[in-house]
Amino acid sequence: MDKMNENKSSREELLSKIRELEFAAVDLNLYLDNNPRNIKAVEDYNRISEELIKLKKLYEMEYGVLTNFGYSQSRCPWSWVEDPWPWESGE
Amino acid sequence: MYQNFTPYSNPYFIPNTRSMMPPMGELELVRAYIVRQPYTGLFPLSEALHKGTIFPNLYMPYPGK
Repeated sequence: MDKMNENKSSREELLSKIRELEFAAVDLNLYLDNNPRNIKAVEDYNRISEELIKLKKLYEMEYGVLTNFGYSQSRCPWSWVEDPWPWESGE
Repeated sequence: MYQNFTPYSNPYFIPNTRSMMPPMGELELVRAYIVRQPYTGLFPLSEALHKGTIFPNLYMPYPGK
């Protein structure tokens, strides 16, 4: 049981990090649309994207795919249909 | 449905944009413009998601909160 809780919390933690990074990437994307030559913003965008890609990969290897329709590869059995669904996460 | 929706701009709910604009002489008629946003650094990412922006100079919470 303790082991299960521990797994759940690290999964949630990783998912929160991914959400935070994804939000930051979107916001910087919008800034860069208007300020494409701001090198600091491009650097921050690249740093955040690199971290985001890394954490998504880590998450998908550990817990299954985050996206379907060909955006990432699944182990077998097909992990898209594994629990929990977003409304089952207890948030 | 949409009983409280006001399809025209309500002066009580929009900021006084005129006061934030440069003097009239410097502006052309019928031109939309956006003030250049300086890059002043970012909120810590966990704060940004809760505040709704990563940019400190765009963070304008409602006074009631």
